[in-house]
Amino acid sequence: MSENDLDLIEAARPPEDFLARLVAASPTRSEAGAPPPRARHAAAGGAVRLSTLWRHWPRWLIPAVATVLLVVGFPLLRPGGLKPRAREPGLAVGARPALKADDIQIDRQLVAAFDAIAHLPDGEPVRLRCREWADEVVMRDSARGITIERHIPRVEVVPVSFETY
Amino acid sequence: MDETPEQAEWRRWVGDHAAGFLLFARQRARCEADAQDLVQEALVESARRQGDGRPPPRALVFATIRRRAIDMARGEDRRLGREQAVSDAPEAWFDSSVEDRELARLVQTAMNRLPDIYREVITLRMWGGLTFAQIAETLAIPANTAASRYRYGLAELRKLAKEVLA
Repeated sequence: MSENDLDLIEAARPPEDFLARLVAASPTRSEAGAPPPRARHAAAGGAVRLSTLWRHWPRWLIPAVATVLLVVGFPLLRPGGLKPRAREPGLAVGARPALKADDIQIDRQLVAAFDAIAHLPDGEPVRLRCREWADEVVMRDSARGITIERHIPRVEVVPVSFETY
Repeated sequence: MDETPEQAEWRRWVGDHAAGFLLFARQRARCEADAQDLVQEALVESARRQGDGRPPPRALVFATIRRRAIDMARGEDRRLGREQAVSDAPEAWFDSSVEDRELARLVQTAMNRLPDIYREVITLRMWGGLTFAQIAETLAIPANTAASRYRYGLAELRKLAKEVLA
């Protein structure tokens, strides 16, 4: 097998619908207000000038509001609070948010840690290990220049018996 | 609606180079849908960086596809999925006439087994139409390294093709 052999074959022609999506992704078309092409995982938005931002607001405002509600509401509803979770591989395509966060940082900071002593009704002392956390979630969609930050204070109290301490 | 000259130029450019972009993406993605996503997102990102409405440099598009593919493959589940997808090789990578169909199949099988560092250089050179200088820019390696990887890759490809035929 030589270079000449490789010259005989060409890269497979892409599907027509895919080519149409790429043609529609032309930066001039995107600025003219044509709908952005959509891939399977996310909408790929073109560049939007500030002067034409008002014409594009429904595109990003709706998914942005939905994402903010998701980010703010979901951790509050979960019993475990804010913890990093692995991505769900089986998530349906239609359920993916239109806003594509390509950089997600989930972090927590220990603000304070202290022990407190309490007494049970029978007089038995109990040590309470208290920790104050600040949970932080930062999501960025660099294609659209959107950054969403959320800071949530959280207090963790763990009773520790003197016998087991 | 009539096309502007810029849109017509973009259409021609896409028609000329999309096959090479998609081939490069298919070799790095776990499935066809991911490969198409990679190309589409890389085109949009590259065009935005270019900023003047003209088609971006091909080396920039290839480099963006590669970077996004690496990001996509970072997760363990994605890595396993990609290995499975590559081993299955569901999509035909090459077009060919009837008499070259067996050759195309042989090249795809051998390319599938080729280490990434060789495969990406051969793909960019043969089907991406890049010079060694552009390949070096795309992969962030010296041009001499790109040229030597190309030579070693071709030799390895010959060896693998013989093994496939044996």
